[in-house]
Amino acid sequence: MSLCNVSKRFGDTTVVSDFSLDLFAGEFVALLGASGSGKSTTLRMLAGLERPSSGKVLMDGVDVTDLRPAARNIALMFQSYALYPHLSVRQNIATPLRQTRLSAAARLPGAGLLSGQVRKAESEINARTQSVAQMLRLDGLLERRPGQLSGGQQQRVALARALVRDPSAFLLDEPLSNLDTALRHSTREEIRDLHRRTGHAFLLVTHDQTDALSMADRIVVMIAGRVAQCASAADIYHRPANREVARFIGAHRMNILPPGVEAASFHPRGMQDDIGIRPEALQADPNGALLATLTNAAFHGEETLLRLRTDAGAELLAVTEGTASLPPQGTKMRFGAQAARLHCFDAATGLRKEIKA
Amino acid sequence: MKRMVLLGLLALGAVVVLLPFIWMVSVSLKPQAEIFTSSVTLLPRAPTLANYWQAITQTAIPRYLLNGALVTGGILVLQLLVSVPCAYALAHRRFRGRGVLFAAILAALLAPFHVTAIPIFLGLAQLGWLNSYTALILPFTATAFGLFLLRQAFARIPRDLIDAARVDGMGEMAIAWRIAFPLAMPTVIAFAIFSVTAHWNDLFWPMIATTDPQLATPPRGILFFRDAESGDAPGPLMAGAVLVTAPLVLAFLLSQRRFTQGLANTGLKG
Amino acid sequence: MNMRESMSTLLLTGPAALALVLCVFLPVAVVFVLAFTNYQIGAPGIGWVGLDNFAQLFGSRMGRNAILNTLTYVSIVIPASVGLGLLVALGLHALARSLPRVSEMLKAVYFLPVAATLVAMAVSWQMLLHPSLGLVNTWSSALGLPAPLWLSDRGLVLYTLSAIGIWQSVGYNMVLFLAGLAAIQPSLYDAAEVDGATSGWARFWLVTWPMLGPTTLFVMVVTAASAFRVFETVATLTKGGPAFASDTIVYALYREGFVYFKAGYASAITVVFFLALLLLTALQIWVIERKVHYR
Repeated sequence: MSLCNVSKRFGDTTVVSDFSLDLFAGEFVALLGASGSGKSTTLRMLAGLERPSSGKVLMDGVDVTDLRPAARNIALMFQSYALYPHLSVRQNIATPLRQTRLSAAARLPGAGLLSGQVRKAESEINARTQSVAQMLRLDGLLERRPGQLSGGQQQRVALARALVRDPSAFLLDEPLSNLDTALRHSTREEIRDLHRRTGHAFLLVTHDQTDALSMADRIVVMIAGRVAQCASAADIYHRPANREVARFIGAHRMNILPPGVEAASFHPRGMQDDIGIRPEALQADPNGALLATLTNAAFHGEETLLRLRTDAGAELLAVTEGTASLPPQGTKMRFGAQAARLHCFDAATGLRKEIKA
Repeated sequence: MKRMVLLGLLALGAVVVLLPFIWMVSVSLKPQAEIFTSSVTLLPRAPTLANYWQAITQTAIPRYLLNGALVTGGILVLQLLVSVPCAYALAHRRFRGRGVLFAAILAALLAPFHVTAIPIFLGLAQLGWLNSYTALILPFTATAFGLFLLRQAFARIPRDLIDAARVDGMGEMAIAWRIAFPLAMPTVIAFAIFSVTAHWNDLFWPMIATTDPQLATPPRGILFFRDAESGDAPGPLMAGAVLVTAPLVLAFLLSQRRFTQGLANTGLKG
Repeated sequence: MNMRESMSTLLLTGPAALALVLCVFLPVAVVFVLAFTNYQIGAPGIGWVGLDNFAQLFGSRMGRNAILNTLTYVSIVIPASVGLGLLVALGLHALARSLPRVSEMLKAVYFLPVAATLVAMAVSWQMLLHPSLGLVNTWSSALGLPAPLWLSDRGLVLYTLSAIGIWQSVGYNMVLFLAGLAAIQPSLYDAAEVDGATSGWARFWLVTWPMLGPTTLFVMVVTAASAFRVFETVATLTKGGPAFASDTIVYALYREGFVYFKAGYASAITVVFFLALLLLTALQIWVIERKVHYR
């Protein structure tokens, strides 16, 4: 399934522009972006809930741009889960099957009593519902209403409803954002596991880079409605395609030294290009290239954050192993970084430039 | 296409809803001869304000409107005077019998005014107060509905704010009127709209409590007027109906959102 | 609790509590007592008659007629007014997306009868339905249709009053339904779409109708309660006539109590009316607790 040069405008504002993405069978892709970067709109266009202003949506090479969501056979798990509050868990899970396999008349209560065909379809639906519920450990909860379930259980019901009709692709919109930290951890593994077992293509939309890095085979970083980079988790972290991605990814924001003597002290390219150093790569080193003043040091347990100011006035952050004995503020210290962990970006375009160690 | 069909159906319904309004205004603008004709038309051919002039100068319509303002205003003021302090106490004070009082208010919500009409009539007759403004106003002093609405609104005011006022040395009555009352203004307005609309439009009690046309509220007055003219002067009658309906309809058109909220969100009592 | 505290509590709550007792609780108690007496307003004597008043209400043709008329009126107005209110709300809700201004304007029009003075509007209806001067019969004669006596035909008058009752209450129900529609999560419609509810009809039955459940019930009870109280149009247009064909409970209460001064009998009517309303409220609470409470 793929998006080809898709754009979406709401009035005058362009939310997604010229976006292309291929989702291959069995792949797990994460669409990572800050809120407002257009990632949810992209997902809704894939699902068929929004029509692109221009561009095409293809499935197996067939143009499905004008096809409605149900006809695309795509499963979508909503951020708010969007469970039907008046239906039991069983009925919620069965809804996609009932809507697509039974006619409006056959959905009427009691239709099964009149027609053997309807009865047969209903028993198939029941069997399928049962097996999906079992897979997600919901078999004990089938007669409950969503309102009687915990957040984690509701999430599993939403997953079950999405999975029940064997979709060709599975889209998840911020599936973990309503869960607490402990649940997030186990749910991540569960979703990975589900992906492995079902073999469907998964597309995860998230603003949380830990979700993306820990679950996906491939990550698409979206910034301001465009694809900023599309690569594996390791590549995104170690070889960010441009300055924006470099700043967006990572637990701490990457330090960027503008072109100048200080940047050049790390690498000669620093005379005309930006030099990026992740805070965890910047280490105190008596023989280091850079002299800086410690303006603030904070002990966070396993790590210590050092805020620095260089003589040229650049503000930097260094992260070292947690140590309770902190040097006093105002201390002048030397810092260095391994050449292999330096990043170089074109000062004007922000694009990555490869440097050899 | 589908949208045009929808719009067409809704507009058709709207015309049906508007028909009595259009007709009322139309007849009120028609000269007498045009009303008593065999070829009835929706709109007046020679509109005139003569009917309004007659309704205002030769009938008691202005008197009815004044009565309406006095009675609805009197009822509202009395209701607020009694309800605001009590609702405040229920929301922000602990005292013996608070639960009982609140339960009593909920119970009183169940009794429409019609249920109490006979004994109240007998009581007022006993006191010799029938046929007076007092008879029209006093029975509505207790409003379980107003108490309930105000209590809910006051309960949303943060406790700290009330305590701050107490620390600053304000008395309880002063807090009720100078802190709680202004902060609950949206609810007060919603209740005021509800109360004024209900009593301006009420016919049941004025028909019972008064027989004197001098005391008639607008709906009662319209009936006095209609029975007196007995079909001879539909023009002025319609002009009177327009004048009676106009204040609330204009208020509604000017502040639709508040009005719908006042009447719909307070839907417990129709 | 000290003396001053108690005094200020009394000052705050006393007047309202006293008013509640005098205006509500005492009168309700008195009505229940009077219902078992033969008291006539102005008469010197009063005597116990047990259940005679109730026997008269349910036993006499007049009493049964008033009850039956009211039930007929209610059973016409509830489904029609609730159904039309829902249809108009659905239409306006759909229209609001493409033509928000028009939708707002139409909403105001439909709500207008709720704010208008019903008695004055009833007088206008009377003119509209006037056999010779009215617009309705002029138009229906022009179309070759019969021109019935809307308000003086015994077989028709109750339906005419019902139509006016529907006209008056549709806007109110519409507003309640619009609020209910606005409260439905949009993501439920997205989910329905993804799940294969492709027609508007399927989405209505999967999402809209069940999600409006509590609103619908509330609207039905409110409509029923106000339909039971029908009085203004009866008093203005028919005075219960012709030949009691449009007599209703509240109008009978008024006539017996305040025209014929039969306080005892009128109290019995009041009690029956009150108990019917209580039953309705109890039904509402019971159904809300069991059926439509999704949480």
